[in-house]
Amino acid sequence: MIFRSLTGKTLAVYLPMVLASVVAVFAIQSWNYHREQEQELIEQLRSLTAVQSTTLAQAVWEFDSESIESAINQIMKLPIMRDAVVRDETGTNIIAMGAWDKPPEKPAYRLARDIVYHEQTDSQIIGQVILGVTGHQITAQLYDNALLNLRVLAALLVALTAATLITNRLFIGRPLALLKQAIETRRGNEDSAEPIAWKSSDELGLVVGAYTQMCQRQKETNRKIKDYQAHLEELVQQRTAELHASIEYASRIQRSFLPTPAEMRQAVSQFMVLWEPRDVVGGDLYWCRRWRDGHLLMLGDCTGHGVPGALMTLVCSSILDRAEDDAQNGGLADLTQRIHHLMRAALGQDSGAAETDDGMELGLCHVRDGGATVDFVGARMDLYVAEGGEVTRVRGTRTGIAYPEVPEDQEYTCHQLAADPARTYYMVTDGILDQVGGPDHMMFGRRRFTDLLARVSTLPLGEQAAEVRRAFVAYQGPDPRRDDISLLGFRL
Amino acid sequence: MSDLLFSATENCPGITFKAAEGTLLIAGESYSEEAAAALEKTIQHVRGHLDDRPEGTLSVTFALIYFNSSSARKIMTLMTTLDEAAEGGADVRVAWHYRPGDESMAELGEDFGEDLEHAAFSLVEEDS
Repeated sequence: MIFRSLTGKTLAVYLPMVLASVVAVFAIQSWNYHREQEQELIEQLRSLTAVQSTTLAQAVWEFDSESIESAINQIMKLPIMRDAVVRDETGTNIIAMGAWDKPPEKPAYRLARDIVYHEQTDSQIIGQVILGVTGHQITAQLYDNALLNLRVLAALLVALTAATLITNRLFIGRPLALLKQAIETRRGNEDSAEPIAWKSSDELGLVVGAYTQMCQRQKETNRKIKDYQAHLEELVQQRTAELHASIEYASRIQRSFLPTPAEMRQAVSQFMVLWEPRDVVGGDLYWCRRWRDGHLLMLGDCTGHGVPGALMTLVCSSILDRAEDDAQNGGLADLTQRIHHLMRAALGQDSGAAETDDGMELGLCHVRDGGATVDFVGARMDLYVAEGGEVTRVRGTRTGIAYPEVPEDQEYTCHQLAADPARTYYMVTDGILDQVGGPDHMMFGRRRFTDLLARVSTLPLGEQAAEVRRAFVAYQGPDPRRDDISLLGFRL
Repeated sequence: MSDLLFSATENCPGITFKAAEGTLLIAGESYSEEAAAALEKTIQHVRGHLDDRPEGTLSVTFALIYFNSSSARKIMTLMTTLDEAAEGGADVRVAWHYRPGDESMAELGEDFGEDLEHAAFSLVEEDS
C-alpha cells in the first residue's frame, strides 16, 4: 500500500540507490585501509627481521641462548607478533615461540633472514631468524570500522526517509490534497472557482496556478454561455411573440374574409359552421356570395395549412370574384371550371413546367331565390343531405381544382337537388374525415362521420357545431390535430 | 440502384426500398414537409431503378394510417410513375393495405387503384 503512494515510490528509488552507493564507498574505503595496513605490517616485519638478524648475531655466535630468548621474548610482546624461530647454521631450532609450526596467515606474513656474523672483513652465516606476524588487529580494526559505518548508514537512511516524508508532505502532499479537494468541490458545482490556497514557484505551484486559472476561465465561459442562452431564449420568446402576434393579425385578416352571420342568413334561413384552422390561420375557408339569381355557399380546402394555406385562400377569394363575373351567364359547373382555369393561371400551373403542385378541393352550392332546386358541384368534395335522421351522400367530381394533372378542359358535374326545408345540407373538408384517433389509432372516416351527422342533424342547427366538435375532439383524444377542420351546414 | 431507407417518425412514414429484391414498403403516417420530401426522394429513386430495368419486377406495399393532401399528391405521382413503368413492360404490383374497419384508407386505396391501368393492384385488409 505504502509503495503506491508518492512517498513510497520515491523511497523505493532513493533507499536502494543511497544504500548501494554508500556501501560501495565504505567498501572501497575499507579495502584501501586494509591494503595500507597490510603493507605497513609487512614493512614492520621486514624491519623487525632486519634488526633481529643483526641484534641476535653476537648471541648466536656465542650460543648465548638466554640472551636470544630474552630478545625474542621482548619482540613477542609486540601485538603484531605471532611466532618467532631462531636457528643455528645447521638449521636446528635454538628457540621457537608461537605458532611457528603452523603455516602463516599469508605467505608475506612470515619472513626469514640469515644471521650474519661479521669479523673484520670476514662475514659468515651463522643462523637464521624467522618471524611471523598476524593481521588480526587489522581485521579487528576493519570490523570496528564496519560497525561504525553501519551505524552511519542506518542514521543516513532514517534521516533520508524522514526528510522524504516531510518534504513530500509539505511540498507535494499538501498542494495535491488541496488540488484534489478543489476538483471534488468543482465536480459538485461547475461554477466553483475558489482559488486554491497554495502559492509556490515550483512545478506543483505552476500546476495549481494553471488549474485555478483554468477554473476561472471555465467559470467565465460558463457565465458567457448562460448569458448567451438567456439572451437566445429571450430572443426566441420575443420572436415567437412577434410571430404569434403576426399570425394572430393574419388570422384577423383571414377571418375578415369569412361571411358574417347576417350575410349567411340572407342566403339561407339557418346555418351552422365549424371552422377551426389547425394553426390559427389555415387553408380552409368558406364563402357566401350573391351570384346571379341567388347565393353561392362555398367551402374550400386549399393545399397546405398554416400561413401558406391561408395565402392560398386569399388567392382563391380574389379568383372567386373574377370567376363569378366571368360566369354570369353560365351554370355552376361553368363557374367551377372558370375557377379551375383562373387558379391554374394564378399559380402558373397551366404551362406544364410548374414548380408548384398546389390546388384545392371545393364544394359549391347555388341556392336560388325562392327556387325549387339547390345546385351542387363538388371538386373532390361531397355534399351530405340529412333528412329525418337519414344521411345521403352526393358525390362530387373526383378531381380537384388547379392541380397540374387536372386537364384544362376538366368538367365538373352539377347535381340539381330538390330544395326542401326539411333537409339539412352539409359540406365538409377532409380534416374531420381524416383525423387520426380512437382506440385503434385510425382515421375518423366517412362512416363515423355519416353516423355522427345522422345523430346531430335532428338537433337545432345552432347546437350542431358544438356537438360535432365534442364528438370529434373525443375521438381525436391525445392525437395531434392533422389538418384544418371545416363543416358548413344549412337549411333553406 | 441502391437501397433506400427512411425511418418512421410521428409524421413521416417508414420507407424501405430494397433494390435487389425489388420491393418498396411505405408504412405509417405522412403529414409533414419531411414526409413529402421523403416521398419525393423515393419517387426519384424508384424512377431511376425502373429506368435501369425496363423489364424488371417491383412489388410495392402501402400500409398507411394517415396522409395529408401534399403527401397524397406525392403518392399519386408515385402511382403514375409505377403505372408508366408497367406500361413500358415492367412487372409492377401494388398492394394497398388497410386495417380492418379503416374504410377511409380502403376508399383512398380504391381511388388510387382505379387510376392504375397497367400495374397490378390489390386492396388488402390486414389481419386484426
